[in-house]
Amino acid sequence: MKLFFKTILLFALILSSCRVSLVPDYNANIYQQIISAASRNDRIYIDLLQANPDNRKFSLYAKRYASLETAIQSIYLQYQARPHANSFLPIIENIQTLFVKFKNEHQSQATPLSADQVRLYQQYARDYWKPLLIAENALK
Amino acid sequence: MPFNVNDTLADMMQVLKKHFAQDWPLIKNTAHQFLQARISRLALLAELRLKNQLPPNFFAERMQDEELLLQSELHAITIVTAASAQKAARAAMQIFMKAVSKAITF
Repeated sequence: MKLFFKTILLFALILSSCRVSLVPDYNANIYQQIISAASRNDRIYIDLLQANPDNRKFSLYAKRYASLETAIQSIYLQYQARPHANSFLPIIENIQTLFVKFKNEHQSQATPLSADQVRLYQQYARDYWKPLLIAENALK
Repeated sequence: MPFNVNDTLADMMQVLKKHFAQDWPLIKNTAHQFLQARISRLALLAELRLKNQLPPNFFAERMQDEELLLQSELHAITIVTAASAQKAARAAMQIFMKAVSKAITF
């Protein structure tokens, strides 16, 4: 009987040391960084909407785009270094792709962005952050 | 043939439901959230397109972006499912550990 309990105890100890890890543990710090970057992204479009068309030139927003691009890259690097977080990487790559695409469109458009264009960019930007927020939140 | 956003999205929801059959109750809310966002996004895009207020190519570019958004949403749904499975496995392990320690101290 003693041997039986010892075996069970050993088995339990081995099992307890093997934590099931399909996804990373929740990280409140990264979650806050995502919220902050998404808010700053949204703010660019809010400010563009409030500005009159002449004040929607790319040059007036270039620094904010650059700073935000850096923040997104920083989030990407943190997920790259985080164990079991590979499934998050395509989501962040898509955020980077769309963010840079919208920035380049803003930069290359000869005429000022229209309010309708800005509204659409804002909607798409809100929605490209959403999957990352939902996925990180699911780890709680 | 006119494009009906709601019908199309309902069809997409059915495809997701079929694909994630077993996990559907788990991801239903997340999938619904994504599809609702898609409805308002496409409705706005369609409205501006019909009013002819978008520069050439702008509509086509946004339609391309839809594919990337859908990819991200499917990745997020997969993560939600995996996170839930992980929580369930850990909870089951805790019950097992408690039962074993009770048996040992008995």
